[in-house]
Amino acid sequence: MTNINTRIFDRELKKGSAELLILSLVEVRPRHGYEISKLIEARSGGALSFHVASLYPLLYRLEKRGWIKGQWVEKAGQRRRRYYKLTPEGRKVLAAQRSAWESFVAAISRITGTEHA
Amino acid sequence: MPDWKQEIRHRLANLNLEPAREDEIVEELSQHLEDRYKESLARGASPEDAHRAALAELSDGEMLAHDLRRVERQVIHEPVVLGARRINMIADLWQDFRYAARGLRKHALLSTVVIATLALGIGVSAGVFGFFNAIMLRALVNKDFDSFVRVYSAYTTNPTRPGRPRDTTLEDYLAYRDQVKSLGDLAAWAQFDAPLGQDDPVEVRVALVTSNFFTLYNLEQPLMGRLLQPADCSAANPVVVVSESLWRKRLASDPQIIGKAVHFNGQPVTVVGVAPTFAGMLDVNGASAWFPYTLETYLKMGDNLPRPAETPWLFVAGRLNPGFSRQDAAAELKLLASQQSRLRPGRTTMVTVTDGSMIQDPYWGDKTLLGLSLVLGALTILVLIVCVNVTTLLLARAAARRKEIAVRLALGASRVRLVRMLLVETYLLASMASLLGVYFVYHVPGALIRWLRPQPEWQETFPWSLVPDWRVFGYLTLLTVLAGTTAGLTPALQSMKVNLSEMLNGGRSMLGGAARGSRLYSLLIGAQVALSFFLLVFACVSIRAYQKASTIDPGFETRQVVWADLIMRSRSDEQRNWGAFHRTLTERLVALPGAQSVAYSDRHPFRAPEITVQAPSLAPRQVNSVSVSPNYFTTLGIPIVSGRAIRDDDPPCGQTSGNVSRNYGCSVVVSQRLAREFWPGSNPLGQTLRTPQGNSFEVVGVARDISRTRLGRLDDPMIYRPMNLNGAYPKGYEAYAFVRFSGDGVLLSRAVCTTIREMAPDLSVSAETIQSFRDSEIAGLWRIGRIIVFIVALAVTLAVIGIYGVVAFAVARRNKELGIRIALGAGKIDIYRAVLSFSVRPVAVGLLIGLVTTLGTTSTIAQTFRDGMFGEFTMYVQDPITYTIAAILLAAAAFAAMLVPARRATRVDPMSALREE
Repeated sequence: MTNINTRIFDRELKKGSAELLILSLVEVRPRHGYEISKLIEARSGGALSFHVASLYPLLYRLEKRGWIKGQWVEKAGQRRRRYYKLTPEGRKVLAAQRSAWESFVAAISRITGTEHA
Repeated sequence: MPDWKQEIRHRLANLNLEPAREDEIVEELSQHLEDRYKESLARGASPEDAHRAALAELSDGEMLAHDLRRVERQVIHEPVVLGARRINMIADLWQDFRYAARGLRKHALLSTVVIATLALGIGVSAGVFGFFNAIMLRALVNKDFDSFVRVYSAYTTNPTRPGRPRDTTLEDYLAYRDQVKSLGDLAAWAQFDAPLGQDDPVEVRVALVTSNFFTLYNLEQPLMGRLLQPADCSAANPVVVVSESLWRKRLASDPQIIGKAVHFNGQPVTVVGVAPTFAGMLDVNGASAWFPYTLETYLKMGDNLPRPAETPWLFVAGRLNPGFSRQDAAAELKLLASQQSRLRPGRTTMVTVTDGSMIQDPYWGDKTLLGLSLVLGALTILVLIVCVNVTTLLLARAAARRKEIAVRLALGASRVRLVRMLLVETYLLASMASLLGVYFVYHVPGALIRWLRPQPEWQETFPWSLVPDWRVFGYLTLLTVLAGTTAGLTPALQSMKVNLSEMLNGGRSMLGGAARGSRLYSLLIGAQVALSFFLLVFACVSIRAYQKASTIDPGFETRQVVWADLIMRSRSDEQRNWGAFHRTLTERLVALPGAQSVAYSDRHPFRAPEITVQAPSLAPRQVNSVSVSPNYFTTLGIPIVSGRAIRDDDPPCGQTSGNVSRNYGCSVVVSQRLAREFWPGSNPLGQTLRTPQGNSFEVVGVARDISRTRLGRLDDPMIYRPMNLNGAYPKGYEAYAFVRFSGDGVLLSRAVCTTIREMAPDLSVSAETIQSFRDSEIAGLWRIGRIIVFIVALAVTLAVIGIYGVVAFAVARRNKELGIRIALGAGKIDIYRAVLSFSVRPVAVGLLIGLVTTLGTTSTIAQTFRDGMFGEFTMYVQDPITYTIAAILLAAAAFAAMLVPARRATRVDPMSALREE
C-alpha cells in the first residue's frame, strides 16, 4: 500500500483523467464494470487501479450525464451483468477531452520536463 | 459462497436509496466482487485470501457511500409521479387527463353507467330546453333568425298611458313600408276564421296578407301554381293560396285545383297556388289559406272596418337589411311613427320592435316567461338529481381508491393537486356525457312534438325549425360544467380528508369509518328524496288539476247544452229586424229534434267583462256583467234561489256605450255572491245599484253562484241584465245562442249551424256543446302538463336508482360487520333492521325537508298560475291529498330501493366477509 501522500496524489490525478479513461475504454465496445477495472489495471501495467469505491460512482455519474448508457444483459447460463456503452454525446465529449488532455500533457512536459527544441 | 450483497448493503445503509435502485447497485457491485474473488481463486489464492482480496475493494467504504450519495441524490430529487411542484401547468393537466382516461378505461362499467346517467340527465334537459327555445325564444321562422323583426304599434289618445302594443293601421304600415331603410320585406297580415265551402261549411283559419309575406317567411316555390303577387293586392284579385294540408283534407287533393273556385264566407275565390308547410302558418292553429289583404271587404272579414286606413288590424314584420341592427330599425320607425302621428292629430302612435320571439311579444311575453321558468326549474332539479346520483357512484370509486390516494399524498402530492386530478376525471366523464347529450339535443325536440301533437288537424310536419342554436349549446355546456363540478367535488373533498397512516397501514376501524361515511351518505339520500318530493308534488298537482278540471261541475249544464257563436261579419246597410230574427230563430231552433229550450246572451260563456256598480252609500265595485234572454237560467240550469228570473217584459237596460242615458231602473238578477257582498244579512230583492253612466238596476232575483271563468273557484259577483233582442247593432252583431237538448250533441250542433246559415247567410256561426269546448281547452293545457310529468317521472326514477346505489354501496362497505353479525347469530330480520335503520332516517328527513321547501315555494307558484299563462285555472298546489300521495309514493319507492341491498345483505357469507380486506 502506498503511503498517504501518494494516495492523495493518485486520487487527484485519477480524478482529472478518470472520465477520459472510462470513456475511451467503452468507445470500441460495451463493457461491464469489472472488465473496465481489469483493463485499466492491465493496460497501465499495474500503475493505475480502480476499486469499487472509485469506479462505480464514476460510472453512475457518467451515466447520469448521458455520456455512457448502461444496460442489463443476460447471457446464456450466466447472471445478468450491466454493460456500459458510449453514447453519441459521450463520443463528442471523448474527442474534446482527448485533445484537451494532449494539449495539457504537452504543456506540462514543456514546463517540467525535457525541453525540445 | 460468501455473501457480497450483505457487505455492500451494510455500507449503503445510510444512503436511504429507493429500494429498486439499491437492489440494482448491490447486484452490480456484488457481481464485481464475485469476479474478483473468482479471479483470485483462479490465480491460486486460498478462499480466505481471495475473500480478503475481494473485500479489499470495498476498503474505502466511506468514500463509496459518500460518492454514491452525491451521484444518487440527483436521482432522488426527481419528482415522483404526482409529487412536487412543476412549472408547466399545461403539462400537469395533460398528465391528469391521460391518467383520467386510463382510469376510465380501467373501470369501464362504472364509467359507462356514469356517462349514461349524465347523458340522460344533461341531454334530456338540454333537449327539452331546445324545444322551448325553438318555440319561445326565437322568431317562428325557419332560418335567419337574427334578421327577423316584428313591429307592434300602440295607439293612444293619452301618451302617458300607451296601452299594449299590438296591431298597426294600414296607412301606417304602407308608410313604413315605403319609407323605411333598415327593414326589407316588410309584410303585414291579419288572421281570421272563415267558413270554407258552401254546403256544410267548415271553419278554417285564414290570413289576409301582403304579397311579400311569403318571401318574409322564406317560401319561394309553391307546391303547385303560384304565390301571391303585388298585382293581386293592388287589383284586389279574388284569389287565394291554400296550404297543402287544406288541399289534402278539404279539397280532396284535387290535382286540377289551380284555377278552380272555392267559397270562403260565401264568396267565390280562385285558387292560384298550393303552399307546402312553411313558417307562415303563423301559430300552432295554423293558417291554411292566404288571401291578398285587399280582399278584406270582399270577403266580409272582421268588423268590415269602416276605415281600414285608420283602424289597427294588421300584424307587421320584416327582415333587417344588411348592416342594420334592431336598434336602428326601432329608431327609424320611431321617427316615422311620429310623422304618422302628425297626420292624425289627437292620437299618438308608438312603435315597438322585437325579434319576433314569443317571449318578446308584448302580449304573450310574461306568460311565456312564466311557463319557461317553470319548465327550466323542473329541468334544473332533474339535473341536480342526476348529479347526486353520479356523486354516489363516484364516491364508491373514490372509496376504493383510498390507498392509492394515500400513497400519492405520502409521495408529496399536494391536496389541491389531488382535487384537481379528481375533478379532471369528473369533467372528462361529463364531457363525454355531453357529447352523447348532443344527440338528445337534436332529437328530443322532434320527439316532444310528436308526443304532444294531439289533434289530427294539426299539420303533419312541424313548420318551424327545431334546430338548436347557441342558446341550447350554451345551456348544454352550462349543465356539463355544473354536473362535472357538483358530481366531482364531493368525492374530491372527501378524499382530502383521508387519514394517511390509517390508509397506508391497511384497513380502518369499522366504527370510525361507519360514523364518518354515513353522514355523507345520509346527506345524499336525503337530498335525492327532497328533490324528488318537490318534483313529485308538482307532477301530482298537475295531474289532479287536470282531473278536477275535466270533472268539475261549473254550476250550470255543460253537456246537454249546445252553444252557438253568432257573428255578423259584414256591416250591412239595411236595417235588419233583429226582433223578428230572434223570434224566428228561437222557433226554428226549438223545433229541431231533441231541442228543449233556447236562450241568448251577449257574452262568451267563459269570459265575462266587468262593469262598475255602486250600491247607495257604499263604495263602487267591479262586478261581472252579462245580458241574457229570459229563459237563460232555465236553459243553462242555473237555479234562481230567491225572487224571479228575467222576464219577457223586462225592459232592456240602457246601452253603456255612451248613448242617451236613461234613468229608469231596469230589472236585473244578481248572483248570490253579489248579494252577500253588497247587502250582507239583508234581503237583496228590491235593492238598487247604479253605474257611473247613470243607469240604475233594480234587483228582482238572485241566482246561484256558478264558476265559469275560473275552474274550481266561484265567480266574482255577477249581474244578469235583460238582453235587448230587438235592438240595433250598428257596429256589428255578436251573440251567443244556447240550446238545451237531449240526445246527440254533435248532430244538434250541426243542425243548429245549418238552421242559422239558412236564415242568415251573412252570419258566421260555429256550434258545439259547452263541454266539448271545455274539453279542448283543458286538453291544450294538458299538453304542457305531460312534459312536466315526463320530466318528473324520469327524475324520480333516477332518484330511486340513486338511493339504491347509495344503500347498496353502504351495505358493501359494511360487509365485514354484517358478516360478523350473521356469524354471531343474527337472523334475517335483524339484518334487515340493521340495513334499513341506517337508511330510513335520511329518507324521513329528506321527505320533511322536501315538504317544507315545497310548501314554501308553492304559494308563489299558485299565485302565478292563477294570473298567468294558464289563464282561468287554479291549481290545487296546497292540497293535502296531493302531498300525502306524493309522500307515500316516494317513501314506497325508496323503501323498495333499500329492500334489494338489504336482501343481499342477509345472504352474506360470514366466512368470506371476514376474510376480505
